[in-house]
Amino acid sequence: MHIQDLVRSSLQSLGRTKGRSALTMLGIIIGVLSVILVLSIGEAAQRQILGQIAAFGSDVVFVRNGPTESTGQPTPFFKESLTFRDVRKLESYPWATIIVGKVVQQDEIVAQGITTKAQIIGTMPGELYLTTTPVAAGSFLTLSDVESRSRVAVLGTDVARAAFGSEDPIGKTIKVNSVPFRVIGVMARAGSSGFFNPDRAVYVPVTSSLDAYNKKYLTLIQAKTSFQDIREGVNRIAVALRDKHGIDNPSGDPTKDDFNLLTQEDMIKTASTVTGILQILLSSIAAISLLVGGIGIMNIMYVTVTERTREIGLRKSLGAKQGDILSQFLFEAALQTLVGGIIGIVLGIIFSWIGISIISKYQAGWEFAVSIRGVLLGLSVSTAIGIVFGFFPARRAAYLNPIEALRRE
Amino acid sequence: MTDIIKVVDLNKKYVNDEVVTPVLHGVTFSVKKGEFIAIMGPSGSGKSTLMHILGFLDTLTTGKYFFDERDVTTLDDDELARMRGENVGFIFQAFNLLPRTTVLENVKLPLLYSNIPLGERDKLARQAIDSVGLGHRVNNLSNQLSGGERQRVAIARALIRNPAVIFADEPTGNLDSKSGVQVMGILQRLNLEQGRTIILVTHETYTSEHAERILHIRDGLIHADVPVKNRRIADGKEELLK
Repeated sequence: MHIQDLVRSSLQSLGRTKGRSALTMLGIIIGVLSVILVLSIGEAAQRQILGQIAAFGSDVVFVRNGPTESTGQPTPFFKESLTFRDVRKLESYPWATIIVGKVVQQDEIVAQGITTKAQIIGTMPGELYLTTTPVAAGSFLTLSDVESRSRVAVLGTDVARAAFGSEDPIGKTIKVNSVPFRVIGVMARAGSSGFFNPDRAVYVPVTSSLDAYNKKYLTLIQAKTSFQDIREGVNRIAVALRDKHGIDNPSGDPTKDDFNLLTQEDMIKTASTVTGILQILLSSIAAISLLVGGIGIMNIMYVTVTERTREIGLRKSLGAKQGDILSQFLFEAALQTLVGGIIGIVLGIIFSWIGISIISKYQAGWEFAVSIRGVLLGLSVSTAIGIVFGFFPARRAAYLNPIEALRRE
Repeated sequence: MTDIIKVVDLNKKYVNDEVVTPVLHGVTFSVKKGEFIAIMGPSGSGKSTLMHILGFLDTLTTGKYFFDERDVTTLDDDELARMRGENVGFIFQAFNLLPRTTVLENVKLPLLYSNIPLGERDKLARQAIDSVGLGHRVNNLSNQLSGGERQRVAIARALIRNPAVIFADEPTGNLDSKSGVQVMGILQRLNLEQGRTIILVTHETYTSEHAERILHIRDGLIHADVPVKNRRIADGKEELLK
C-alpha cells in the first residue's frame, strides 16, 4: 500500500465520521492543553520566584529566629531569640557593612479616619541599600530616628494613595496599632513582586515598632559583610550570635543554635526544589488527563472497528492484506491524536499566554514564554498514545475473518 | 478450453468450541475459462461457503483446489489476499459500497491494494464506470444512488482490476425485478463479450437460468450438475435463447 493511499484512505475514513473524530480528538486536545498550560505557568512561576530571590542580592545574609532542623530546613516551632542588641553586636564588627534589624507585621493603619491594610516594617536606614526603590518625596528614616525611637513613618506609594488620596501625606499623622506616627516620606513605586509588595509597606524605625507592638524580638536581621566569600560572612555572623546568646557550639552544628542563617543561594535551592516538585505534581495530573484521552481513543477505535466490520471484510475481499488493514487503522488513530496534539499545543500556548497576562497584571515578574518541554512532550506523547492505544483495535480489525466480516449486518 | 477452477474432493468443517460442523463433504467439479455457472441450493446447503473458498476468502479443510492450475491450498494469508485482488472480483447482495463516498472513490478502492500507478487510476475507474452505464454519476455519493445503480457501481468496482473470474453472491437479492434484469444483463455481457468467467450464487431458479450450467448443492454435496436448456438472456425483452 502506497503511503499516499494510506493518508488519503485514512483521511476519507475520518471525514466520513467527522463528528466522532472531533470528539475523539477532544480528549487528546484537553490532555495536551493541560500539559502545556501547567508547564508554561509552572515555568513562569519558577522564573518569577527566582527573579524575586535574585532581587535580594547575592551578598545578603538573612538571620532568622529558631534553629535549623536536622533536615537542613528551619524549624517552624521555635522560641524567638533575635533582639536589637544582636544588631548592635553585629554592627560592632569591622567586617559588618550593613546590618538591618527588622520587625515585620501585617496590620492596618488609620489615617484621617480611614483604615488601610499595610505591612508595617520596622527597619533601619540601611534598608535603602537593600532595595532598589528610591524615596519619591520627603526623606527616609535616619539613624537618629532609630536611636531616639521616633514615631515617624515612610509610606509605600499604594498606602499613601489609599490613605491620603491626592493629598500630600507628609507631615500628616497615621496611627499604627493606635500609636500615632508622623509621615516624613513617601517611596517611589516598586511594583509588586510576589509574596512581598513594597508599595503596601509602611516603614517605621525598628525600635519604634517594637514599642508600638510592645515586642521584644525582631523578625529577622539582614546583613552584608565585607568578605568576598559569603560563607565566611555566614560563619562570622553565626559565631558572633552564639557568643551573644551564650550558646556553646564550637562544632558549628546549626541544630544547636537558636537562630538560622540563609543566603540567596540557599533560597534558590529551596525554591527550585519546591517548584520542581510542584511541576512534577501538576504534570502528573495533566498526564492523567492525557491517559484518559488515550483510553477514550482506544474505546472509540474499538467501536469503529465493530461498526466498520463490513467495510473491513470488503477491503479484504478486494485484496487488502492484514498489514494493510492494520496500518490503516493505526494511521487513523495516530493521525487523530497527532492533529489533536497540535490543536492542544496551539490552544495550550494561547491559554497560558492569557493566564500569564492576567497574573502579571497583579504580580510583577511574570513573563510568558512557550514551554519547549511542554510542546515536545505534548507532540510525542499524543502520537505515542495514538499508536499504543490504536494498536489493539487495529489488530482486531486486521485479524477479522473476511467472511464473518462480510456476513455481519 | 482449460479449467480455470478445479476442485477435487473438497471438504470443509467449521470447528467452534470443540463442536465440529461439517459443511461440505467431498465436492469435486471444475469450471472452464469463460464459463457462466450458477451455484444453486437452499440456505444452509453450503453454497456460500463453497463460493468463499473458491474466492480465496476461506480455506478448505481437506481436498485440492487449483486456480488456473495453481495449487491454492499452499498459499498463506498474504498470498490469498493478492489472489483476491488480482484474479477475482466480488459482487455482493448488499452492494457493500462505502457510504458518503463518491462513485469514483468507491470504484477506485481495489486499486489501493494494487501496484497500479496513481496517475492511471482515475482513467481506469472512469472506464469501468462507463462500462456499466453510470458515466453521469461519477461524482455522486453512493447513498444518492438507487439500488440498481449501486449494484452497477459494485460491478464496476469488481471489474477495475480486470479479473478472470467474477463471483456474484445473490446479486439481485436486494433489487426490484427491472434492476435485477439490468444487472444480469451486464453479467451476461461480461461473459459473452469479454469472456469472463462468472460464478453466480443464488437460490432463485429464475436467476440461475441466466447461466449456462447449474451446480445444485444440497447438504454439502453436489446434487446435480446440469446445463441450462432454455437459457434466459437479460436484454430487456426476456426472450429465450436456443
